[in-house]
Amino acid sequence: MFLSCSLLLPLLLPAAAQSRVVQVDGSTLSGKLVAATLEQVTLKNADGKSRELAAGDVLQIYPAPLTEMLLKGEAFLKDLDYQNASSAFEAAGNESGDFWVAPYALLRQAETLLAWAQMDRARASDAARAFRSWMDANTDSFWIPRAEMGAAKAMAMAGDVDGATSLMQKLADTAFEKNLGKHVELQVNLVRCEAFLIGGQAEVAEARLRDLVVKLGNAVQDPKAPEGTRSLILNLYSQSQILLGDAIHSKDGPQAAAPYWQGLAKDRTATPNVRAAAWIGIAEAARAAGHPRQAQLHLAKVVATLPASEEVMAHALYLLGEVSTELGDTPTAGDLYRRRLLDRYPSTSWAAKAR
Amino acid sequence: MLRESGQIAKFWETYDAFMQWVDEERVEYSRNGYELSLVVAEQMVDENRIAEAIALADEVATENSRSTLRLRANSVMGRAIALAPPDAKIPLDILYGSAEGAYYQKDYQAAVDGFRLLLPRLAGTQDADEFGAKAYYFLGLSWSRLHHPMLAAVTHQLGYEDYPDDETYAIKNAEKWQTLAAGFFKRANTDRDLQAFNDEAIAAVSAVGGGGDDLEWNQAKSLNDLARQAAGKHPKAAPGSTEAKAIVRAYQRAADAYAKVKAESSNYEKALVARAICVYESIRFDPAAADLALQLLHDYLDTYVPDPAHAPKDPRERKIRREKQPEAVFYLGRTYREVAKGGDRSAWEKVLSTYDGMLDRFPDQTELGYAAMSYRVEAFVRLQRMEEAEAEYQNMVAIPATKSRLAIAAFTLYNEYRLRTEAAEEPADVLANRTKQAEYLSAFNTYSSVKRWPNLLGEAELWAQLGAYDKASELYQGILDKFSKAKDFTDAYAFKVRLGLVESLLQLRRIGEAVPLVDELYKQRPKNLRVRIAVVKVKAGFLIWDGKQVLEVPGEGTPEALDLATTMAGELIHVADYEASKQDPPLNHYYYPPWWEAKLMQAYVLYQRGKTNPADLGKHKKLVAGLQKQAPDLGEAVAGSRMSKSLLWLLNH
Repeated sequence: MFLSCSLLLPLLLPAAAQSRVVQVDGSTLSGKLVAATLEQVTLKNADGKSRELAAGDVLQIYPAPLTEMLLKGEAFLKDLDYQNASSAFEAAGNESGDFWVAPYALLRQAETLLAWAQMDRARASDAARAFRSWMDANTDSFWIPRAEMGAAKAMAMAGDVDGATSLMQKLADTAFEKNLGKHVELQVNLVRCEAFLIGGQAEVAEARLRDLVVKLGNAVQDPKAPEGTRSLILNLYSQSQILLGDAIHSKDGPQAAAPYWQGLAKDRTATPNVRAAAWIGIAEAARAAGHPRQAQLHLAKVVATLPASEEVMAHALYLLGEVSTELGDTPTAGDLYRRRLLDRYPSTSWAAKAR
Repeated sequence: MLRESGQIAKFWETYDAFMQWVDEERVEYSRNGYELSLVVAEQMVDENRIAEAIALADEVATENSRSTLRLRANSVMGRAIALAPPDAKIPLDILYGSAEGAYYQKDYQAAVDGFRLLLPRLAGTQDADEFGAKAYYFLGLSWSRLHHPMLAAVTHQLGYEDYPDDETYAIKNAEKWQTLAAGFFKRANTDRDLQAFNDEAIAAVSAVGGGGDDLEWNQAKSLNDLARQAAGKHPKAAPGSTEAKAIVRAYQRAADAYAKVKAESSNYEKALVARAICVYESIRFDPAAADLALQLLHDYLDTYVPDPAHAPKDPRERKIRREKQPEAVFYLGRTYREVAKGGDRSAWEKVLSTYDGMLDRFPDQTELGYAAMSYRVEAFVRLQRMEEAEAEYQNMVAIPATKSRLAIAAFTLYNEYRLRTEAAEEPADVLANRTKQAEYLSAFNTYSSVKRWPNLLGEAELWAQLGAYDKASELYQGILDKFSKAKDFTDAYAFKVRLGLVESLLQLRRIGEAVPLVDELYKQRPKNLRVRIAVVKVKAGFLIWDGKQVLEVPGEGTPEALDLATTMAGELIHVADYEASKQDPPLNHYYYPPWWEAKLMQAYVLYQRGKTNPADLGKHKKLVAGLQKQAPDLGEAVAGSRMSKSLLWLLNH
């Protein structure tokens, strides 16, 4: 007997979308989001029953349904069209709807400006302003830590390193007070280090990152860590390893960073992003030392064997294209790599640069 | 739609009910059913249930291996793994199977994506030993299929480095790495980093016992070919120039590569000699390399060959020894030759001793033996031991050596005698050296496989100078017959050869053959001095001296011919007068040989005129008597005994 259509009918009936909440223990809950504060997150299911969760037990909220304007904003952002994304989110922020729609939209607008500032530093002040304005209007929101971390990055990029680090200290205190979880504390530490690095204080960043890398490494190994936070902590660990390499590079130059990167490159258990960053770091050191061929070989390893993130792969392809052209297009033309970058990773900042 | 609208609980409720029904009713899935499974798998991905998602997608892929659903299933699996955190538990064998399957279905991009996702997750797992090296291998092959050779090469490199002990794939990865690296290096052989990359690959292949005997040998041969090509492009590059330095570096790389051939290799002995030859070939671009070449060749000949441990043990080894030992001796002699040419004359003695008895020592190697003999001729000549040089040459003739080597030896001797002729002061010495010069040039022309007319012309002129007019005329005629259409045989040379032929024919008293040639030459160049002399001779005739008596060679003798001869003879005297006055210091014409020649011609023309015209009777005697008053020896001291004898004959006839 073949599958009959009737059983498919329930699957076809349209109905309202639901928000999803991921908890630190790894489980996921769905329902209508009715409250999201620094103390509590409340979901209501289809039967009208409410479920209250301590904010400290919630890792991530995916609000739904997203309005049309929010969806447009996300689509523009994916295409790196920051201007239109910002406008769409701003418009979404003026819409009426569920309690979370406007604040969520304005938070996404601030985050869009922050992403824009990565390409154009002049936008950093706008981003910082947007975050501050959001924080002033949403003092008890579940998303305050997220906004404050975004604000710290924007402030550091705008030159206010002291402001950024003070804000992170304040957030660390809040996280402790509100029992928001170790993962928040670790994130805050990482953002603080990043702020030092962005602000040009590489020496301070390096010293703090060395400690943080150890702490995060231990957290990764901790069997008692909540299941849902494992991936996040592993991600933070990878980021800290990469930032530490960047800090050494900023402080002492590519050659000084090379031994550090070489250690990471040899570690087969390192995440793909870390290993990729390591090989890219080694390649940059080789290129700076006048060995473009060595740089080419290391960059090729990234592209050939690592499933790193789109931005990292795009970065590697961009550099590989440059170096190959420098080497007279031997053994492969630099253009081939540039085309691969544009074909496979069109929505990355490196593709935008290559165009 | 339940999923799209976010009604997840309802979604699972419905799915659970559906699965229960499938089990109870033993329903077989149609395409719709598998598509539903993929929707479920995607929802599992959203819920971070990665392992379940992959297992379900794999099931769909397996059951639909021939339909497009397989590709969609692979895509879901790929997404699942891509989104999965690094520490997510994923059935790696399924992931490997999916990637390998994509490879065999020629979906190489999907294979690349699959293997790339797999590799970082293998590290530290039990599956690493089973899949690691193999995954790298197939990933490398996939990149090759996608025409990315560098990406393929580094993949195989990493595959070998991460899993050097894999029984099957360590060697496969190493060999693929090496093949690709060798290709890169061949196309950019001055790139040191690529050379290092290639060397590492070779070391890897050797470490896993691969490559066979030929790997390092073949690498060295490739580098040697590249060095030769570089040398061929700039054969005259001066030592110290940019081109010469590049060529020397290329030969050095080849020599170093030969040095890497292991002692256990069956190519080792060949590599020893090849290395030395590489260094030898670089000498012309870097003379200092001679020392190393000598050292390497002596090491081989004096240490390696005599050592009983290196005695050939089988027919193959004996053959190699039979070929390489004489080759090494040959190059040793050539190296000494280069040293000698560079200024160390004592090295010529080493050339002689190195090549002494070469044919007897190595009777199978006749080519090398003959070459050695020709180099011995050269060495004897350079040491000015001419008797021995000629004796060696005669030995070569007697054997006989190959024509090419005989030609080289003959040319060496010709050149030396040419220099001696130029330097000689005594007429007897000039004559003796010129005679040898002519003989050896003749031999060179005879043995040369490609005859060149400038060399034949040189020989003809020598014979003419020596009075061997029969040989000279034959050569002149031969040049005109065979080379008159040659591109470099210009009109000027054609004229020169015809004139030489005419003069030889006249000396041989073959006036009939000379007359049409003289007429032709006179039409071409009526003012040419030698042409005019020839005209006078054919028109009026002339006297020759055979060493014992004066002989008449009759000319046309007609009144018109004699008139022309008279005019020309007078002009020749004016020219000779003028030339004598232009010598430095100016000469009295009585001391100028061409003036005497002109006077002799004038006298003979008058003699001929006197035979047919009474008005001219006896005028020739008056002329000669007048000369005798001024120069009682009738020009013997200036123009030789032929002159005085001829003028006396005229006085008496």
